[in-house]
Amino acid sequence: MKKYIVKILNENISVNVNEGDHILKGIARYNSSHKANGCRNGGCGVCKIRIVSGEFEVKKWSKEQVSDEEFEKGYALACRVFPKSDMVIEYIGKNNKK
Amino acid sequence: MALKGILRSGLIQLRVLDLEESVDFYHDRIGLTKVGKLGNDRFMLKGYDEFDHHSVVLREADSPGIDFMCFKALDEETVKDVIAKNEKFGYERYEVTDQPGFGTIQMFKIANGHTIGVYSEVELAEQKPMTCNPKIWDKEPHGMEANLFDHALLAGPNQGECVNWFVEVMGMAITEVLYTEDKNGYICTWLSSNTRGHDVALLNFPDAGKLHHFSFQLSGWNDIGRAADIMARYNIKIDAGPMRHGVTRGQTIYFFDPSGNRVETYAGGYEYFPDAPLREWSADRAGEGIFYYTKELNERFLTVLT
Repeated sequence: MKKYIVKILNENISVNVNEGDHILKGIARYNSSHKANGCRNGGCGVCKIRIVSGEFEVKKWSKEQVSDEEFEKGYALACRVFPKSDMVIEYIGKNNKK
Repeated sequence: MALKGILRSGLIQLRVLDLEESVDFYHDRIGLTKVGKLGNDRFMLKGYDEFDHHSVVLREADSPGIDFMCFKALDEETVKDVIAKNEKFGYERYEVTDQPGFGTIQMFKIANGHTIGVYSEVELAEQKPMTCNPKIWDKEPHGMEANLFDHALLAGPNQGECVNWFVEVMGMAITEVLYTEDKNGYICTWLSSNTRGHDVALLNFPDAGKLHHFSFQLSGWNDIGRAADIMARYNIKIDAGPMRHGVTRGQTIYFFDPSGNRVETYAGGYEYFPDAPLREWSADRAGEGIFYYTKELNERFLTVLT
């Protein structure tokens, strides 16, 4: 199975994400009690990230958590981002609205 | 008449990110009955053991969460009484008339950012429990076999004032409380209008109008296990359980719908009567109150809301 490496800059870790999986699945496999492991369905915002580099696809998420303007600046929810290449991200979380 | 005033929680409208995907989830997996479309962006459903026209409305929106939760009153006198008693609180009131099968719903915008409705008139559903030499069901239930919409945990600020509103205006009873560490306030309060352990619970939370979870009643512990089997089969994200609550003694699973709303399948629990003493929980035993077996709260339980 094809795997991508997603590097989380501000936590100094890299996780493997299988083709077709979202980033959070890789994070949760690395650490199931990671703070990002919330509703996993785009609703709660605890898995908010900033994408630094990489190719990806996204699914619909709560615009209360990530607005269209924020998405243009690279913000997203890890549970709704599906890597299409190796990626570099920062973990932001819900309560750290940069 | 065994029960008067406010009878039960009876209607909830939820926001979902994808209506079609969500209707499939609530119908196929949870086992609700499809009642029908409501305009272009809403869909009505009900539990197989409910008499009323519908109890759950899903509305497609940009952000998940709850639009409102409504309570069935015995009669119009009760509704008028609620309107009159709300004057003391001064909460904004408006009327909703666009729920098929329902008469006018009086909506109140209470101080935790939630909208609470009261109605007395609702038509019987097409699919409803049998009443003449009744079988336990007319057509066998499917999915997790949810009997009915049971309760919701609403989060927001000004919890104390809102609890007073539910008690003084709606005539509901406090069944259990979870105190803050200094015991001068409440983290969470559970309220009932009937013999359930709760119809609604209020959680103190800084953000207004947030949904912690809403719940469907299942018949028993075996059904909770079967629901867990369905969640495993269809990769539904389980938040916690199968387990028991110390509060209400209910047996339960928390899981997430396709939009991240926390849903509960709930069974058992004690029967509440108005002369029962208040059940009290101290902050240091909150874990046991929620997760009776493992006794430890997890961060997700306290931070993940829609």
